[in-house]
Amino acid sequence: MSVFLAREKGQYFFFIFLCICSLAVAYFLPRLAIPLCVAYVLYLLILPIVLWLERLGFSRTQGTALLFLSLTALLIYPIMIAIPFVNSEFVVLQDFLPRAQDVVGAKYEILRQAIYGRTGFDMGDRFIQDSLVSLSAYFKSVALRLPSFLASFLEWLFVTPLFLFFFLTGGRDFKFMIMRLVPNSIFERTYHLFYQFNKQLGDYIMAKIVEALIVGVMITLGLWIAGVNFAFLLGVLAGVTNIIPYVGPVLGMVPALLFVLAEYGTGSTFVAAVLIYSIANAIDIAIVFPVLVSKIVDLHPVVVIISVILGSQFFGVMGMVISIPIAAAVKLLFIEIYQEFYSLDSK
Amino acid sequence: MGYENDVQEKKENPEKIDISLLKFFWQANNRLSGNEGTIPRFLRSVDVLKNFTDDQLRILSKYLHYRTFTEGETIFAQGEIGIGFYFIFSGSVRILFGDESVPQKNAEFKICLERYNCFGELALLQKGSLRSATAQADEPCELVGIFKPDLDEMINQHPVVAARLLQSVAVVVTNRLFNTTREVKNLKHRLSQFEKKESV
Repeated sequence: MSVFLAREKGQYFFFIFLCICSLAVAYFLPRLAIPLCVAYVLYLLILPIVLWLERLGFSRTQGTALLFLSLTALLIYPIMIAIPFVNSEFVVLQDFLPRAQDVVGAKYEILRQAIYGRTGFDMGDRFIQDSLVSLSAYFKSVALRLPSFLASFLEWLFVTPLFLFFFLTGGRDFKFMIMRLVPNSIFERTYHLFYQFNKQLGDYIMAKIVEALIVGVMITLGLWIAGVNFAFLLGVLAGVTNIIPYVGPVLGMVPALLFVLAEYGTGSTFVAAVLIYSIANAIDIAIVFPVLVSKIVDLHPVVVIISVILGSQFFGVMGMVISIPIAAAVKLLFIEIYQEFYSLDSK
Repeated sequence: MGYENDVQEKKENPEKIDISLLKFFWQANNRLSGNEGTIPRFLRSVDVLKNFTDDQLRILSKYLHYRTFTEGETIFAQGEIGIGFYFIFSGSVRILFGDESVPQKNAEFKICLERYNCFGELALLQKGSLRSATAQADEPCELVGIFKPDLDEMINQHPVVAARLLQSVAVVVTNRLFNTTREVKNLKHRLSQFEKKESV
């Protein structure tokens, strides 16, 4: 008896040590952890296509290589189309920003006059100057950090496809190797959890991408019909920020509405923009989210909000995005532990 | 003694015998001892899987997990959620049935399974299947097992192999059901006889 107890203790110790090491790598080495995570998420998304190719008779490596080649060929064309388009929108934005500054200055002057007329308090130029100084300092720091950010971005751009390729070709063997390290007494449960988590994560990401696309297309079309400038950019912004639950739609809407307000004033266009965002978000909350997402990750809204806050606290914007799948994983683990220790038929 | 003398005198082998070529042909033949320890070769001898072709066994072996257990170690316990179906690669396993309410206590020794036997097949078929017995390693043993997630993947990737496996599992379950029905019939018959005696 004692032989297998000692063996099992050793297995547990080594397994927990490995888990802690991987968590430490994820936390302290984001340069490695972020491309690994992104590659893993892409792996979950692309795997069904590779499996389909395998069914057609290609080997795993051939299928993966074919997919990589086709993805590269497919991505080159839209990027070639999109770059001049985004560039032209940015050029227009560049012209627009000084105008917006003038509008803000004029509005501020009117506000200052009004406050002085009503209360006799002169705000002076201090507020606007302070905010301008802090704004320029912020832009300066962003500009200073830009080269290092670009360097790491380029690094990820090369490393992520490499990791993805190896996940796709050798992922199964690697999974089997990892599972061999799991202690016998928790093997079946761990494998079951691992499978459920992977399935949920893959489904959740797919659902979120579809949701972001739907919201992005709705807002782009709406703003384009209303004749608002930068409809495409604002639609993309709304789609991307929509990935963050609850806070995302607001993050996408507020800057857009401020732009519309500065450009067109409080006229019919502003009302139209408010309506477009409200309708798009209402459709998202009432139809798209319940049908697509919440069926996959069944979390209480309060849990969602708490996990988003915790995620943003520890990992910033990236943390807000990954908080939901992590919360779902914790929930799976919690249910498993609960059933083990608290259910009626527990030992 | 001639060979030992040759070795001591460091004489080389005659040129006519090409040992490396012989060794290659010996190992390349999968029916000979070189491949005896491999999983596909082991699966060939498992009675339940006799309807598989060699290639199907090779595919099946890719989906199997290899696990080792020391003497007395529990493979799975009665009442636990199970997802795996195991084949005994080496060693022996005992299956214990206990009282449903306290499965771990008063577990009664029932069956001893040896190399080439299999167990845990219900876990592949039932959803949220609870183990109906406890399996323990009787001596240090090696098992190869297939688990539900792998079966799901195999159904998509290699439907014919998955169908063959499910057919084999169905045969095991049917045999067991047949035996259980016969046992129940016997018990009913004995019970009715006992009741008749009591009434007389």
